[in-house]
Parts: sequence; structure tokens; C-alpha cells
Amino acid sequence: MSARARMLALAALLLPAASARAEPDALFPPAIPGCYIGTEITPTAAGAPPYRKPAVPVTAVRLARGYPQLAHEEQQTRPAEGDRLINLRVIVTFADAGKAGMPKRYSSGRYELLRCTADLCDANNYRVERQADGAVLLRMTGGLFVGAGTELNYATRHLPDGHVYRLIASAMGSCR
Amino acid sequence: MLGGAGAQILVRCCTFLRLGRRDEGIVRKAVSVQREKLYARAMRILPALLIMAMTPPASAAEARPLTDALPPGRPSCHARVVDAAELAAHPDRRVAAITLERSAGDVALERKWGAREQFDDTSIISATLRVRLRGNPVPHSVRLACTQSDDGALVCTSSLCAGGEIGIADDGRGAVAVSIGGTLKSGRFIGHYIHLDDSCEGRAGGPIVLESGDGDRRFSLAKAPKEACR
Repeated sequence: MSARARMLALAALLLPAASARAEPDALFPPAIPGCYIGTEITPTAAGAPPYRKPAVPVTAVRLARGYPQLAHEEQQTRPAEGDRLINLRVIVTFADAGKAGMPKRYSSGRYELLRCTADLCDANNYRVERQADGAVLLRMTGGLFVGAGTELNYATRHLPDGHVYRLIASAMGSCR
Repeated sequence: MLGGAGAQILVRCCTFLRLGRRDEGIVRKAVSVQREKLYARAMRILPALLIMAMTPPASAAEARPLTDALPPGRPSCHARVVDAAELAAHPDRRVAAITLERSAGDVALERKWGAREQFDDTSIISATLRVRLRGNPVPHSVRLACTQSDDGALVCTSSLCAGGEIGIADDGRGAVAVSIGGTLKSGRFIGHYIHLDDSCEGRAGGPIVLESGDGDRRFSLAKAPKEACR
């Protein structure tokens, strides 16, 4: 085997490893659907304001990034600073879901954008923070209104500032 | 030229200012000229004012998508039934029948929505999607509220189970195309779903959804008599 051939063979062996390292190991990578599901972990000592009107706690939170979100992201202009803009759907189930007249679950708006670095996505009123174990923390930094229903019977709930939810990556089917 | 009340006020002003009859005549003429100028100006803008008054609010006048297939103010029914031979030829298809109905109640709801202030996410079409899945004679249904999408079609969601959505587009000759999921600019298809009942995640066996499997990504529904949607 010539020196040139040995070099090529060595390069071929090293290339996959190098490209794997270069793979962006980022929170919500571009054009890839994702789903996280979890529940609240707000420390009781945190002093976060309680749920009000009604005082009903959250039982499940889903972060969905499927076709509607990816298609919306494709229409955005990438910010000059280099951060990415992503679109997420925050889907929230409250403890009174399923009671007569109550919506089953509430969600954030369709068009909200979050600015992302490798480990953090920020919507200004809430953040998604990547943890070392692969889970994410959804942290309210101002609070988030989620809604359900249509124009004539629209209902909203509020996730108050300071509340924290821990979510783990799940199959897309878990966000349904 | 002056009306009775105006003339009274003018006479009182002239009396108050101790103006003579000649001065009063000059003032009267000046006021009259001003009134004529105002009148002429008002006549110039009157047509514009009339047009503004007669034009319906922008929300109602804006062109609604799919007006041929889903005519405003009139109920509609679109249906597609997959026959046994077609199902046998495509084992990856789960959907055996699918209909989209806008009843009189939906039309009334659309009228109420249309009377409200319009935003990007204001619902404009109300409908019921009914789906019968392969091997299951019982159809499932979901109430849809649809908004206009960026490409001029419709995005429809279930108001009870947030998260899922389908697209509805004009498919020509009065037909509609129902799509689940879609293709990104890279050409990669990304699947999606919509709930087919009200249980959301509350159902023990998992939610009943219409999802974009390999054979269930897009359906062309032809215009049909209302009986086909029942």
C-alpha cells in the first residue's frame, strides 16, 4: 500500500469520528422533531407565587416541536448574532382536566419564538435549560399564559414566575 | 344662508360688539363665505366618507380561503371512501373513510367569529372531521377550528386537545385536500397527528389519533351530499 493510500485509509477511519464530534450536540437541533414530557419540581422554599384563578396545580407539561413548529422555524431569518430561533409548543395539563366544561389541556401560542444557544432556549418569559443528564428544565422567568378553546369560549391559565418543571426527552407519540 | 339659530347668534354678537348694520353685513358676508368654503370642503370628502361608511369592516371583507369548496354562509360536505380493493392494495393505509362536514351550526359559528376583530390566529372555519379506521366500523370524530395558514390554506386544530393539527387546502373542482404533517425545505417529510376524540391523554389505551403514517399523509375529499357526512 502506497503512502498516499495509507493516508486516505487513515483519513477514512478518522472522518466519521471527527464528524461525530462536530455534530451539534445542542438543545433542539435544527430540523429535528422533539418531545419532552414531565412535571413540576418547583422547590417549596423557592417562594414562587401559587397558581391562582383557579388554584389548580399542573399535572403534566409537554414541550412539542413537531411539523408545525419546524415549518414555522424555516420561515424565520436567523439572527445576526448567530443564535438560533426555534418554535415550541408548551402543552399543559392541569389537575382539573376532564371535569365538565373544562378544557383537557392548554397550550402556548402558535408563533412564539425562543432564542437558543447550545444549552439554553429563552423566550424572555420562560426558559428551557439543558441538564447534564439529558433532561431539561422549563423555568418560568416572568410567567406564561396558556390557553384553550376558540374565540367564543377561550380560557387561559397562568404558569407563574419562578415555577420550574423537569422534563425528559420522549418519543414524539408522548406529546400527543 | 345662515340658519335661524346662527342668525340669532350673529345678531347678538354684533349687538354685543356694538357693530353697526353695515359692519354686521360685512361680518354676515364673511361668515357666509366661510360656511360656503366649509360646505365645499365637506362635499369634496363626502364621497370618501360614504365609501368608508358603506364598506364592511376589513375583517369581513378580506378574502377567505377556500371559498369555492367551503362557501361562506352555506353548509358543506366532503367525503372520501377507500374501497376494499384499494385498502388491500395499500396495507400501510389506516384510513378507510374520511369526511369533513360544515353543518348549519358551523356556519352560524363562523358568522359569529367573522363579526369579531380578526387576528392571525382567529378561527374562520368550523367543521367536524370524521374518520373510520381500517378494521373498526365505529367512526371517530373531532371538532375543528381552522385559521388561515401562511400559504393561504387552512390550519385546523382541536380546541379540546391542543397540539395536533391538520392542513386543509383547495384541491380543485370543489374538492379539499386534507394533509397531516408536511415536507420541510430539505425535502424531508415530518409527520404529525390530530386527536380523534375528546379524551386527549386521559384515555387508558392512549389517545385515538389520526396520524400521518406512510399511507395516510394526504387525502383528497370530493364535494358530496350532506348524507355522506352523517
